[in-house]
Amino acid sequence: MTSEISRKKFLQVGGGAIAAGSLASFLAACGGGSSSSDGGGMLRFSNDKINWEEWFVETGRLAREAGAVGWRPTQYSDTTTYQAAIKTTGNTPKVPDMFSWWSGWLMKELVDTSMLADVSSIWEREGSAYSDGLKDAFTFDGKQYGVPLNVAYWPTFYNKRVFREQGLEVPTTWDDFIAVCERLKGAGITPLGATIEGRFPSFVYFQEFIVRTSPQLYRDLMEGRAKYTDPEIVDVLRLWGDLIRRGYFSDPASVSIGTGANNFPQYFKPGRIAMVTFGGWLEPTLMEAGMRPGEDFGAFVMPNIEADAGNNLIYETGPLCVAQNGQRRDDALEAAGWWASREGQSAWIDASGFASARADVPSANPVDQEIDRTIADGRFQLLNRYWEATPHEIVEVGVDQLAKFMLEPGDPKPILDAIQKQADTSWAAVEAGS
Amino acid sequence: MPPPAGARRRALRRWTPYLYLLPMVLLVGVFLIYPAVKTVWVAFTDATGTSAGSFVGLDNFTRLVEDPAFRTSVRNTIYWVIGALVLQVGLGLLLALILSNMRAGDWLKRLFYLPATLSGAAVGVIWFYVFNPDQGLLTSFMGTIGLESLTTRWLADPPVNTFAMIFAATWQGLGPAMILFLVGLQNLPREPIEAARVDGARGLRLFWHVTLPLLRPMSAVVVAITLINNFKVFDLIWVMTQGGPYRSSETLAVSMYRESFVTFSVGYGASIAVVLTLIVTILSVFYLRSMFRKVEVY
Repeated sequence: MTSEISRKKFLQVGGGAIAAGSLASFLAACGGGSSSSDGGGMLRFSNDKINWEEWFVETGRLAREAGAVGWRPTQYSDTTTYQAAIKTTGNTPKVPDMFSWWSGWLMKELVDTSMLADVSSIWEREGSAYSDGLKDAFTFDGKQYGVPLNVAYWPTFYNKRVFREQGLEVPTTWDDFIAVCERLKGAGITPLGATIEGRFPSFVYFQEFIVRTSPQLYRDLMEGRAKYTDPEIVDVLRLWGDLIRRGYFSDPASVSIGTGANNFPQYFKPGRIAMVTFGGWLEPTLMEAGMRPGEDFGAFVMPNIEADAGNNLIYETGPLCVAQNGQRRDDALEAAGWWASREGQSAWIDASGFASARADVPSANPVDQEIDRTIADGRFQLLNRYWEATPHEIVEVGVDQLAKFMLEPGDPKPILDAIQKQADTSWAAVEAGS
Repeated sequence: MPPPAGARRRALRRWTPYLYLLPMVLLVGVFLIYPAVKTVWVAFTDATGTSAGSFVGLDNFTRLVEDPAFRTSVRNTIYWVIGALVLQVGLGLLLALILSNMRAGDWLKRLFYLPATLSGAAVGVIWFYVFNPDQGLLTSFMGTIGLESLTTRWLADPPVNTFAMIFAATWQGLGPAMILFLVGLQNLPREPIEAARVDGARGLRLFWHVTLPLLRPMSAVVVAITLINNFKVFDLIWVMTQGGPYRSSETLAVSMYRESFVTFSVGYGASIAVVLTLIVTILSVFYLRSMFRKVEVY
């Protein structure tokens, strides 16, 4: 009898406690994040750059030491989950104080829904140290909504040892470039790395070959003035298909570059693949594999297919955004101001080893410094990469169709028709919305 | 005047069970019923993730019918379900039969169960390397035994990529099916089997006419679990191909995720979720009802 009563009591008391406990923790979880209400504490800085965590921690600490408010990063390992997290909390107080994002159309969506704080005052103060192209990437209706978190140029990296052994020079004309590819192929070396792993990289050579043909055509295509089915674009795909069939590219299903298995160094370092056109953020991967920038690998701008296309280079830039609805918006604005300052950018370039977005802060390694010089001396036009330069619904269909083309480089027409079909829908929606 | 102590006790006794239920009801209500009802509502809107959207009637569902990617997705889901039934359930049963009569069976069943302890994502990463067309284990092995001409881009050529992933899923899903069948075999009543043996039934005949019907309750469970698991397969595919290349290896669950969280056509993604849930629910109910009806006969 005694044991029966105590069991009942235990269940009543225990059950009640568990119920109350679960409810309390559930309600707590529904409420505001505790870390954001700790006054002068570190700001919450979300991003999907999983490998950059220690650099963010380091710069956050330096920002605090410098008198600005510091930050503590929250890393997401999956970009898709990250985008969902930001979009679903963007208009709630749960949004992180600052976060990384993408420029162009992906950013416009957040601007249109009032998720981003206006940072024009920071650009007024620091803008002269950045290029106009960079500023444009973050400008909507004359106001800026982000400061550059990173900037990456998209040159063609090459294995210097392979070039030396094969007696090759960096190509300066399209004919030179084809001769280099032919020579490498003859030596049993795959000239160019290409991949569809991670989906997005299928646009790399597509954008590159259009820009090398006509930068205006690229701009027109990105902004809906040209069609994917236009003869000039069809010609670019025909050329690309021809180069694939000649064996100039690696099997895109075997090699992964920059994402996923990221096995590119296994091919590039021993010289099985000699070149790759890719974003500058590939460099840390190469360096981790033991390749020294400037000694083991270098970079050049792919020569123009049409000689009169001018000096152009694809770049990408992602903004550091301040949440308009963040609980500590003013602190975050101050932190973003420090990030964009000379001191902040120096700290970031020192920590990360990336290319510098600021003219008065030199890039960290000789390859990036060389690219900086090339851009400055040649007065290069910088063009935003495909991922950000055109509405994202088109990009999503585009990368899938281009991947199909890379695997089966046959008739480009059905590929381009499919992308144009989505482009028609998307541009009509943009028209209707504006 | 306060109620008499007896009445208070009775009232307390009546309400106590509900108090015990409360935490679970709250959890299920908040995390299951509310999202499910909300998903059905969202399926009739053009929500985008940043806007709640407006009511669009059956537009999302008519778009599904016309969407070639959805058709590929349905076809791949059917491949997955059939493949899993044949391989996981069929091989699971075969292994259980073999191992239950083997001396080393105890050790082997542990070995076969081992992959089931890994997460779907880990299995995906392992098999991603195995299927790499250049340096992968499978291609190297086939080259070694002189079958290089049969190698392909395992994860890039449809529908081989779906079959390759079904194979990887079988490697992981075989163990649990085998264990469940082993449990079923160990608990079979001895009398009917011995009676059948006395009557001269042996081997395949004994298995087909006696053992298999007696195993039916366990088979029903294994088939139902396999069906449901493979209708909603996601993690392995997301890790190995992300549904690609060019959406060729998507299943319904992957399409739902992609539309909802990659392209942020949340309303359209929800309509796929509704269709997937309907298919799984209807199939499960019909299958289990028919199986248990048959079980009662025996």
